[in-house]
Order: sequence, then C-alpha cells, then structure tokens
Amino acid sequence: MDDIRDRLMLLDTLEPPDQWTQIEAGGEPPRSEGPSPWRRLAIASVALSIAGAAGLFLWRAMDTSGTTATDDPVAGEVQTSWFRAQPPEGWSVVLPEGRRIGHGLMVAQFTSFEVDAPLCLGESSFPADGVLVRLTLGSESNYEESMVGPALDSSLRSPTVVDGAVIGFVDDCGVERKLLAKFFGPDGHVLMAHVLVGPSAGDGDVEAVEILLNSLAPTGHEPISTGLVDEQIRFAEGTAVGIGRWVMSVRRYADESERSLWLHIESAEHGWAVNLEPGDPFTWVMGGDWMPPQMVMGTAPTGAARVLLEIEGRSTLEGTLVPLPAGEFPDRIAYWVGPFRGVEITAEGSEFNPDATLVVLDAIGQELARHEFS
Amino acid sequence: VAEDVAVVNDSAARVERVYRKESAKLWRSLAAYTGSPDVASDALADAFVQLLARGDHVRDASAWVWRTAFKVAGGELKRRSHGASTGTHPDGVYQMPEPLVDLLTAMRRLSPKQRLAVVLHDYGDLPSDEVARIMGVRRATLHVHLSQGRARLRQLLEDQDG
Repeated sequence: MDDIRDRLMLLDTLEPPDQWTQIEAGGEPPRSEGPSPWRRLAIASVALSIAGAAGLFLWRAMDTSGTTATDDPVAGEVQTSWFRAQPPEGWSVVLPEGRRIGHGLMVAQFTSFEVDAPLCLGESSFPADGVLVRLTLGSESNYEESMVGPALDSSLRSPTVVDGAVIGFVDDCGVERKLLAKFFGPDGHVLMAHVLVGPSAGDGDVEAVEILLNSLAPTGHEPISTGLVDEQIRFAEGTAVGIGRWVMSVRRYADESERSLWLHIESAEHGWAVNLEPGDPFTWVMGGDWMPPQMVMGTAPTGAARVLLEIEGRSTLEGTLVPLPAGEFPDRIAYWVGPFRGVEITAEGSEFNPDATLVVLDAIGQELARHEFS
Repeated sequence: VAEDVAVVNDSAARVERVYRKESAKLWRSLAAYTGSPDVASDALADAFVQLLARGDHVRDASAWVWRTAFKVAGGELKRRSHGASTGTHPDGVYQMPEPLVDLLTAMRRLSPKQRLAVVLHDYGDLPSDEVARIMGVRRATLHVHLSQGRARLRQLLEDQDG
C-alpha cells in the first residue's frame, strides 16, 4: 500500500488556487462550463436493472429456450426461462440482445433515476466471485466495478417478482431512488441487463438506454473462486427491542492484496461492523447507516463486565456483552449498545451526541476503557 | 452592533484558519477525485462559503468542510455524468507533468467509489470512519472499495510503467 501512497504524493505538485478572497466575499464561485450533454435522459423515470453473466447452465438455457430477449420495448410481463418481471403500469422494458456479459453473482435492482442522476451500482450489485463487469456509458463514464464484496444481503437471496410496489431507498451515491424490484438468478450468476423505461420516455430516451445496454461488454476475466471472501462465522444471535432479531458474526475478507477480519452485527434492516485488528482490544463504531434507532458496537477488553453509553440528559444505556468465538480473540469480548425503541441517541436521532461517552467497567466497577464521542 | 461585528469577524477568522490549514490538501483531493481542477475549485469554494455562512454552528469545521466539498463535487459529477467525452485526459491534465497525468488518468479508470475511497483514505489521510461517513457506506464496505481501488490503481500504474 505504501507504493500507492507514494504515487499519490505526486498530487502535492498540484498548485491549488488561493480562493480565500472570493470565499470571504461570499460571492458565488465561478461555475465551470460542463461538457455538452451526451444524452439527457430527460424524462424523470428511467429504471435500470443490472444483472450479469451466466453460468454454463444458464447460458445453455438462454441459447436453446428462445427467451424474449429483444431490443424492442416489451410491454407487460417479461418472462424468460430464468427471469420474470412485471413492470408497473405504463412502463416498458428494454432488453438487450441476450448475451453473456461476464461472470458473477446475479443481482438485479430495478431503480428509477432522475434526470442527470448517474448510473450507480450499489453494493448489492456486487457479484460475490470477484469478477469485473464493465459498464460503459457513452465515452464519458467508464465504470469498471470490481465485484468483490461481502456475501449478498440475505434479503436478496430469493427471487422477487416485480409487482409494481414502489419502495424507496438511497443508493451508494446518496441519491434517493425508487426500488421497483430486486432479484437474482437461480444459480447465483449474472446474466444480462434490462432497463425499465418510464411511461413518459421519448424515443431519444429509449435510444439512450439501448446504447447503454449495448455498451455492457464482457470483461474477459475468468471467474474467481469465492475464496475471496474466506469465511463467515456466526457465533451469536438473539432478539432485542428496537431491532428484532440480530446476528453477530466474524467475517474474514481477503483479496489479492489484503486480508482483514471484521466483527459484524446485523438486524433485518441494518448492519454495523468493526475491524478486528490486532492491537487495542477496545474498538467501537458509532452511528448507523440511515436512520434511528442507532447503535454503538465493537469490542471491549477481556474482563469487561459492563459497557455503558452515557448520552445527553445524563441518561445511560447499558450494552450487551457477547463472547467472541473461543480461541481466536482471547483479549476481547464483543458488545453492542442500543438501539432502544423510543430512545433517540441525539436530538436529531441520526447521530450520537458528540458529548456521549462510552465506558467499559470490570466486575467491581473499575474503569477499563473510555471513549468520548467528540 | 459592535459585538455582532466582532462575532462575525471572529467567525471569519476561524474559517480562514481552517481554510489555510485544509484547503491545499482538500483541493488536491477533490481534483484527484473529480479529475477537474475547475470542479475542485468550485466545490471547495462552495463548501467554505457555506461554512462561513454557518458561523459558529459547525462543531468540527475541518471535517464538515471536507464532507461538504465532496458532496458538492459529487453533485457536480452527477450533473456531468451524461455529458460528452472530454477526451482521454481529465480536464487540464495536459498542463501537468507526465507522471501526474499518468496518475490522474489511472485514477479516472477507478470506479467513483474506489476513487473516492483511495483519495480520501490514502491521500487525504482521513480516518476510516470519516471516509465511510463521507461515502455514505459502512466501514466494511469502505474496506472493500479501498482494497479494490488500491489493487486496481496499482495494476493500472504498473501497466503504464511497463
């Protein structure tokens, strides 16, 4: 990694402009002229599904079953030997020519994106076997997502038929989108991409998505074994007010350059993780991903009997201690605090109070560790 | 009125101190992320103008201005995402030394998430929690983007060197 940092030091030769006078004046900074639009997907609702490449079985099925794959918009239900979707009323589907575009775990997300919003592959679009899928959008954007990721979200593990229900979510670009469906193939391999086109889309929009679809290209990479994600050990589970069922696990991530070990806690809707690096056994992660209720979790030194989170209003939340798998982590124990239904960690409810204090006590009340969230 | 002026002046002085401390690294990070000195300048200026307007209401001004600047830059990238090709080099790179051109060209071939992770963590030296917060992902996810980005960048630079 030092080689990367060394190369990045080249950036220090860039000479930044001194803009303080302009900033102090409070004036609108000069706007640079953007490039002329390549393609405006000018109608508000264009939905994109990224699926991916097929395993041999699926590929044969595609070759012999005469699927409905076509370049033409198809109204109503779309069904192939491996895929079925019913777009919302008024929507149509553009399918590319049925062809294999790579390998990987198939995940499809039908999302709508607004004018000027970028294509954004979410983390749940990552095939688990570590193969690249190249998506080229015009000549401006060339995303080559490396598809190495943690195990797929368990909520995606069974195919879901699109029923028109609209669910909101925020994608990896922080853009609020409408999630229309998500599903993946029967053997966990990505086959192809589809685009849902909103009812008010014009010819230019359809042409744009056809170009986009046809820009999906095989990467030429051979599948990589799922050994990239070595193992996941689930060692504790339970049910708690606020989050319902929770599961704690230790996950070992590995790729060609790095290996790391993480402690995860997941509920039906949220997940948190801390790195189990050697060193200080006292770790924490604060906050959460999207909304309250939130939690703090991590590891405390062995000998910890209580973990207390002191929040605003002199309230104290007591954490739950969870022994880690035997043998591997003799110096630490896992814990989590909250979320507690009805308790907002901050006035806004979205972050911990900056004055909150995390304290670890032993059996006789002696302080073993402390962290101030400020 | 005099007290108000004093407060405003004190606030501006505080923001200027943050500007002097953070702006060079922040601007270079933005430039590396966006591939555009213009977008970097706009985003940085936007963020500091907003910081100035907020006075003392921002608790950690440095962290706030990094988050805001990258949010602004991300928005500008989205605005440009369907734009026409600007050629093989990022904006203005042709004026730079060749090794820097190579670096920025390679950076541009990373996915946005990978690029953001590498820039913020390995160049900006921001802690993982803060990088994850800016990116809006979990730390575990950040790690994935970071390791992939490093590996990809290393490969691209090796290809260029070869």
